[in-house]
Amino acid sequence: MNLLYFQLGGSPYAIAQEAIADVAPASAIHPVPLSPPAVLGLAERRGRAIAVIDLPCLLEGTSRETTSTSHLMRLAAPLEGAAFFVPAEVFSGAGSPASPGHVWIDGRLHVLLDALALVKASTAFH
Amino acid sequence: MQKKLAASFLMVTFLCTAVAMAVPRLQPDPVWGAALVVCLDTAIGLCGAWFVSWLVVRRIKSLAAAASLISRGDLTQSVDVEGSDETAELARSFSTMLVNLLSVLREVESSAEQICSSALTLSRTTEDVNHATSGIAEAAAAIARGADAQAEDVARTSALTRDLTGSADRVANSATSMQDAAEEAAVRANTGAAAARRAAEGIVELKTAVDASADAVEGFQGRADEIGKIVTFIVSLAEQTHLLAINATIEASRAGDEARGFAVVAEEVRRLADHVRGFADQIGSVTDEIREGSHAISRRIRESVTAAGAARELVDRAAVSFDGVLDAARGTTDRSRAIARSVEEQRTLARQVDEALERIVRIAKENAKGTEETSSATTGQNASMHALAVSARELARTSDHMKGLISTFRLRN
Repeated sequence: MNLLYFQLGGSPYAIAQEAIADVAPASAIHPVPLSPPAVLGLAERRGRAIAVIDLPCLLEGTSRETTSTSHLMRLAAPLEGAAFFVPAEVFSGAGSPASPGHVWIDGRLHVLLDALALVKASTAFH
Repeated sequence: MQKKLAASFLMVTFLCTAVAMAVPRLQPDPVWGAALVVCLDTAIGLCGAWFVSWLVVRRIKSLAAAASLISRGDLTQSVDVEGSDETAELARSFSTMLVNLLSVLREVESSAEQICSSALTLSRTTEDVNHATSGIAEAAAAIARGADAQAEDVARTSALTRDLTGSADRVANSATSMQDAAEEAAVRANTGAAAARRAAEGIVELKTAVDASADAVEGFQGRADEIGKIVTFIVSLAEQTHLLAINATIEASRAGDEARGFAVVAEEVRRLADHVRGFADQIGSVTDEIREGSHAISRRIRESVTAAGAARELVDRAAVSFDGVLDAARGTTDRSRAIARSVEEQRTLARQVDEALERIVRIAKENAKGTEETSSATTGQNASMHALAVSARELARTSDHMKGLISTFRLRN
């Protein structure tokens, strides 16, 4: 299975490639008042506004500043209006399933992320 | 006494005659009358004899009593010298002898008192003189010891003076050597000053060359910075290519099997972009090392320039020091000559001091000898005074004994 993978806080994570529409460098993110804490705000991608979800906030409970290595992973349909904020390098590669929720990539065990569950968690996260 | 005896005898005879003539008238019996006359005449004779003996013995008893008291030492008795008979004459002579004896004894007592007092005074005086003589002897001995010590000190001082003379000779030799060394130092200081000036000129040339090297290194550092910027740009391009390749892979996978070849190409592009990124990172690391190295070289060159400037200052100071050494060497030469003159004067003075010390030693020895003689004389005098004190004490004891003898007589009431 094709995967996109990255590291947050020293922990390796992976997400299915078909759940992602594209990957781009993190552009300007505009905060939205009264939005959940895991929603950083709105960003522009190919002429459309997308909601940016803070993955470090969801996975580690901490927020990160935008750096030169930060990326936005825009989600594929039916979640094409949202993107994950990933403050790390993003790589693509093939992986093999390990235990449920985990995959092997280049001989290393990664946590397999569920995009839909993360979007739901971001709206319910307080 | 003879007249009294004759008168007494005539009185007895007259009374006996008067009895013999008066009894026949009173007693007619011749026997009784003769017996009465014998009895009366015998009684008159006895009375006359008692009277005569009383006249003779009365003064003699008085004289005997006085002689008895005098024999016990009491010379204060007075003797009755009234009368003109032989007994009164004897009493008068006895009284005169007693007065004379009393006067002599009082005179002897007074003389013994004076002798005792004088002997005690003489004894104390001799003791004082003896003590003073002992002090004089000790002082003379101390003076003798001091004179000996003074002679030894002067001898040591004389030896030190001779050593001083020897030291002065050595100082003169050292001054001569110092003068030679100062002249040599002046020559060498001249040479050193010239070498320092040449070194200063060389350092200036070296500093110019090093400055040029520093400028070249800084230019090289600027080129390295440009390389770093290019590498940063290449890294950015590689990242964008990396993302484009990922997105192409995503699009290809979404397109299905027909886009498999496109996905393979996108994967190759991604790997290529990763390789470019890796090489760019390596170039960036090398460029950083070059930049840091050139920074270090530039810093070292600047430090060398600073050190060259400091060396220039030191060399200039060395040149100034050489000039100072030259002046000092010339001054040392002059002072060495002055020291040599002073040492010659010091040598002359030390010789005069040595002669004066020899005279002092001679005088000190004579003084020591005189004080020793004084000490021995005072010791002899001390013995004589001691004998005199003994004699005075003996005289005092003799006068005491005499006073004791005289005290056996009672000379006053």
